[in-house]
Amino acid sequence: MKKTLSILMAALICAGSLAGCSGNSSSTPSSSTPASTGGSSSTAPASTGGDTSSAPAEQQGEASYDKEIELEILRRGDVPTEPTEHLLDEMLKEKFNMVWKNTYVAGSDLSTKITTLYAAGMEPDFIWNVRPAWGSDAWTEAGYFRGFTQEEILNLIPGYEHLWDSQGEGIFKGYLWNYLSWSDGKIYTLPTARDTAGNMAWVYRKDVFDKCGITEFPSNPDEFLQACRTIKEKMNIVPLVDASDRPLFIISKWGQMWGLPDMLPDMPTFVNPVTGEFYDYVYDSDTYRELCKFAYSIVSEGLMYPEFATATSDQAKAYAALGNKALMYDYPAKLAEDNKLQKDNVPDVDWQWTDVVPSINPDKRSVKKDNYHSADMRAFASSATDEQVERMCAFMQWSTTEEGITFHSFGVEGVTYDVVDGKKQIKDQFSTPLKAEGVGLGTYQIGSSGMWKGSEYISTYTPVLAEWEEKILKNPKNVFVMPAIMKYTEEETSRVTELNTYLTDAVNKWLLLFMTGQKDPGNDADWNEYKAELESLNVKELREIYKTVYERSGN
Amino acid sequence: MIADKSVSSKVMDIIVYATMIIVLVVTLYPVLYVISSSLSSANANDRGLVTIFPVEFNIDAYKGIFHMPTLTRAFKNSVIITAGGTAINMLFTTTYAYALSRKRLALRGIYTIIAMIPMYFSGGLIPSFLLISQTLHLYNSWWALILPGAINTSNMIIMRSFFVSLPAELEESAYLDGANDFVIFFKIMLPLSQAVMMTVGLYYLVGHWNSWFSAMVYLNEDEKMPLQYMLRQIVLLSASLDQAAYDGEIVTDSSLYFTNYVAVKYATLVFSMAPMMMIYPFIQRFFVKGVMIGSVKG
Repeated sequence: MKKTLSILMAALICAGSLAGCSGNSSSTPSSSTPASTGGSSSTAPASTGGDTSSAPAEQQGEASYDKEIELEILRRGDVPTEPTEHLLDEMLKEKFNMVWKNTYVAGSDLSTKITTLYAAGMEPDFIWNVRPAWGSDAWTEAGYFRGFTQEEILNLIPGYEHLWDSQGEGIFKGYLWNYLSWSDGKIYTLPTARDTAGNMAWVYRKDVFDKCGITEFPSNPDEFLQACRTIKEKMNIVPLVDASDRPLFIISKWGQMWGLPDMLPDMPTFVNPVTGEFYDYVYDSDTYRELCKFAYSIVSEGLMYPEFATATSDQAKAYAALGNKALMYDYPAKLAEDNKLQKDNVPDVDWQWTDVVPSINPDKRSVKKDNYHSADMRAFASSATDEQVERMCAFMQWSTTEEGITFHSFGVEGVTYDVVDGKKQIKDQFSTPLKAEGVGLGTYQIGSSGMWKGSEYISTYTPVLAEWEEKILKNPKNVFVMPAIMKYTEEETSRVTELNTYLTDAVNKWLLLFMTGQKDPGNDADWNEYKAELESLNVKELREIYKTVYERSGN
Repeated sequence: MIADKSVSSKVMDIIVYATMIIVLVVTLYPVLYVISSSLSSANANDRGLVTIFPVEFNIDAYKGIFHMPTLTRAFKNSVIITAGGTAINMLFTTTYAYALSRKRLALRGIYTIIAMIPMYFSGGLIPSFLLISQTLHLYNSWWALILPGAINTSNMIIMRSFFVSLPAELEESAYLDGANDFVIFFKIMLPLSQAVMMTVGLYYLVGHWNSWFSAMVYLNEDEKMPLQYMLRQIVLLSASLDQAAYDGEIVTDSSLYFTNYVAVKYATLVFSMAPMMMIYPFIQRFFVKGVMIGSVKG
């Protein structure tokens, strides 16, 4: 009897295992890919389908929607705050008869979450935050996202056409469309505008400069070096404090002095905005060599935090808190934090920012400007219905209007802000970028769902960024490196990733050798040894791919 | 017993004591640092002044945590998942191990193989996700965190080894007295197995308490998330805010960052460590005995 029972149990377990392996009813996403530039005949991912030429909801959200639409949305969420008021939910229901079911995931986990959900056919209808760095290109190729032609998307969200007007005309239809669209002429990720065109500048301690008799911020690399030497000699502090296990991040800030992009680690290729020359691989160029020599001088003369290559950011911060750090390429919006950090040790600390841009070319100074669109883009699942697409696009369109911008940046009048002397002011109980005390507007569901903060909010609550745009963006002496449009095929993407994995490691390794003096970038033998190593890692092949892609991509 | 007073013995004692002191310091220092930082001011933390004692003592970070309903709810979720999960783990593991330890179980070899295969082979994340979410329909449920790992093969082997070591005469005499398998198991074997049960139970307990990845993959709602997942998000907050600044986003909800991010981060760590640190002393006397049980397997 017991033996029979045992055999039966074993059979049940095996049968259960086999049943679980078969007849899975999950639907897998479309395996079709966007048409590659290689002329493949593979079909593009699921088209928008339906009647997308229908007029969108009237602007200002005045159209009535009889049918309630529910959307499952996956979004990046940091520490979730429990909303005390649901202003966004109420507005969505009232204006668009729409209900969102949000799932929040930490940014670093988004990739895993999206991959598993798509694999199981349980993808959300809308993904609030997608980026190439998290895999959006691969997801697009796998057919996960819904594509839109320019006509379709402008029909659904006409506000796109003017969202970047403050930076120039025709940006969406021109550069941005060319940058974001795939070879089938569609975009699969929807951009939002950055709150500001840029947010970094040279910051310095005015108290140190005054004590050292430095009356003007250095305007070229030689003056920069001399200023650092003077500060070290007279103040006995280390003027530059930074830390990263990838030294490319550290020197990229200095690289702008030679016209290199600030995003050096992410931009091995770029177009020199001054000469128009395309750099097919910058890390073995003469310009880069000059940067390495400069970096070596900085480190060897003790002008840089000695533990820059191994310390954590907290350790670097603690080192700066002792009174070190006198100039940096950083965020002017964080000056208050820098002052607070050093106040105890240096009571008269006075961090300020400058619109001076040190450069070897005083009339064409390279400045970091961010790409037009925010790093996070939006995407509809290819399985989203036409109704869901149209309703969500109606919301996004409304978000580009004055009313929508006000809602997303200030909230609701009388609830989260008041109008005083014709200007909107967020109520005292809420924190703002100017005031840390108070509850966040996020507890009222305000602040993270728009297309753009709007100029009024920016000029009121982040005046330093508005000032940045005036002084730096509009300065005719400044030029801006924008990413080249590079449209890769699947094979090219794979090969470039593989090659860069080894090459970037070699570049960082050699940079460390140069900076610490173990190798001399000014010595031809050492420099050639470095280049030889890059050659052995197939940098020539990488160059060819970059050149081919650049020429093909319609730059 | 005569104490060994030879020189070599004393030298050995010194070496042992010195090593243990070093291990103690190395182990204890990070814990003390974390606790001290959580009780120090933002200024002290930013300037790296904290070592093993709080500097500019304050409990603002803890006040902040206990005012965060998301964290207290996550703590409650972790308690439920851990308690329920450990109970289910122990039920399945002990019964399976006991059954496998009895030579008279028919097809014992097949049951052993069924248990051993997952120890060496796994389908990976996607197949597991498909199984749990699609086939078993456990997506967005705490059962997805508990049932798939109901039996850990290593722990089961440890328990099986212990059950094998118990004298067969106990079982035989119980049978003679009229007891059946259930009575023998619950009334004789389990009471004799306290050491191994506490040991294995602790392994499961700590595993559930520290787990966050499964929650991230299988849960959809913040209301169900465990404490470790929330803790991770707080730990990542600094990087997240830096990323937002790098991306040009204007961050408005930054009060957590500006007040005393380091203290809040460490206070949350202490908050999550505390239950395990409170439970362990009660289990310790069983643990030292039980940890050697699995050393001789088969």
